[in-house]
Amino acid sequence: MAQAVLIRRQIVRFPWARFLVLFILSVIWAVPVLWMVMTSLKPEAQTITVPPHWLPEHLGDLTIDNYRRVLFVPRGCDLIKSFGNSLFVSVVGTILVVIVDVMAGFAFARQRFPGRDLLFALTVASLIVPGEILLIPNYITVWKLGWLNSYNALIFPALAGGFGVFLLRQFMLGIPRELEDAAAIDGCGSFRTLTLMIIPLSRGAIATLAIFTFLFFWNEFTWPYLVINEASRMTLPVALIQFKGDYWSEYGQLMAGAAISALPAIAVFLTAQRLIIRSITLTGIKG
Amino acid sequence: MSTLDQIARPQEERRAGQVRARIKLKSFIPLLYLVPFLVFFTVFQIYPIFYGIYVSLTKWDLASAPKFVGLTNYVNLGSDGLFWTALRNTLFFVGLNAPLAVIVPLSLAMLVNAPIAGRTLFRSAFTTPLMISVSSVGVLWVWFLNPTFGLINHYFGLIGLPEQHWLSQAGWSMFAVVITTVWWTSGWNLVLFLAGLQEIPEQLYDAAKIDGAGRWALFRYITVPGLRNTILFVGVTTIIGSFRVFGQVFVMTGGGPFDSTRTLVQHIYESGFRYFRMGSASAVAWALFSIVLIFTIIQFRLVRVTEN
Repeated sequence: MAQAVLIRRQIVRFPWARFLVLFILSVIWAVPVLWMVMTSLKPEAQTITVPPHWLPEHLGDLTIDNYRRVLFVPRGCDLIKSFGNSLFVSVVGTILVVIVDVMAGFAFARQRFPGRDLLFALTVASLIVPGEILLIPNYITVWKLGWLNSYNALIFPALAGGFGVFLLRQFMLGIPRELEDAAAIDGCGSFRTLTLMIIPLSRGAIATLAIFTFLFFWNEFTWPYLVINEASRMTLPVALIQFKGDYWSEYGQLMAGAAISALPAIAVFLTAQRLIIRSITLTGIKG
Repeated sequence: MSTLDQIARPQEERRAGQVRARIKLKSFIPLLYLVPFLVFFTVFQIYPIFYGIYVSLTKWDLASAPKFVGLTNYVNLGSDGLFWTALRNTLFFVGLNAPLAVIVPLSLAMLVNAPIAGRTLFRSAFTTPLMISVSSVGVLWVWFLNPTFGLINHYFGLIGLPEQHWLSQAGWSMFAVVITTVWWTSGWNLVLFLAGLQEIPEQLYDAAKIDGAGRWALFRYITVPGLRNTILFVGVTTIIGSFRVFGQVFVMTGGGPFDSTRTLVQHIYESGFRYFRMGSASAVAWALFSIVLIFTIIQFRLVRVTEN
């Protein structure tokens, strides 16, 4: 009882209880990632110890040798090549998704044409179809097109996703129509309206979509694992599993590989985090 | 009058017809913006739905031509023991993961929403795992959960909890997968809840506090109603997402031990691409889709009921 009173009085000044709970929880959340980084920096001989230690025996033993070996020692899968594949697919894929979805979002939000509402309803309905149930028919399509083991198979099916169209349409609906009417009076056609007005005004939502899409391509696992089995075309998540299969006991290198594939995505997200939360509020994607 | 009319009408009609044709043509121009999306949407989203139904009605190993077998694949599901195991495991996973994946992020969001020192840092700690691909997550947690040299059992030992063979014990493996998943995915729902919380006007809380409302009352009568739409969205997407569980089990346990973590998507994957039974794999996919659809409809109904 007395403690509860004490805590309540302290909250008025600084919310210590809340701070403490948050602190403990965020440490728990961070531990696996920190463990990954620490293990990747230990010499292989010291990665497995009973009981486990955070630091190597001597601080001087910390090494980037695991990174060097996982990247530069030739073996079945080439992580540098995979890094390049991941980067290519993520960047090109993101650019294409943004172009396709901006145009489609604009059409749904700002244009009138027969069948618009039906098509939009279909797009929204497609959001609840779990992608996994399309694995088999889409695999067969990609196989018939001769796209197995190609970038096409990784990029083009992702352009069918309705999420970005929905997000941008919702955002563009919120742009005042008067602006557009004024532009029309000045003789702007729909294409110039889109490029000179709608796109600049939607850049927050577009940036958010671009970040989500990049992360999606960067981290996607099931589909690339299915359609790519040539080592030279593997993206990082696929190559990592390959690597795990071949070198499962080399934990230091395994963790270095995991870190290499995780850190770029973490960096992208952390720099853009505030933007993402703001535009979720603006676009109302959460309902 | 009638003669004049008769003379004038065809001309007028013709002109009106031309205008109408022009309007009609013009009204299709906006469709051009939609064409690129529609092409991919049709080929990789609409067509595969129907093609999947067709495939589920055939026996097909991709090497020879598909053979139409009617509903045989669906009927055979009844006697496919692995299908039922996978269904049971998936429902178990959804039942455990979905509530946790809503409650944990909601609590975190409420904790982190108030102005507090280090807030951005805390939030980042919870959202960072989301940025890691499932293969890294799996590799990391297998190591982390290792019974002999993993950190978890070490700390369990320190605070006096019994050691667990997380991934090699049938009873514990799914719990390990759920813990991993909650750790991995909570950040996403946290971000959605934060966005929702920021839309609730601060004045509502102030007014209620003046009226002497306690914390529970504030939560029950202001936060929950204010987050209604967010909770619906998070609920629906989390349940759908939980039914899709695959990568974690595939990387961490391979479905074992003793099929205790084998899920429906894994069953689809393996019947399709390990045993090349496209037909029966598609039938499982359709079973999964029907279940997801039923759950989604029930949720929308529930929300409508509570609304009234």
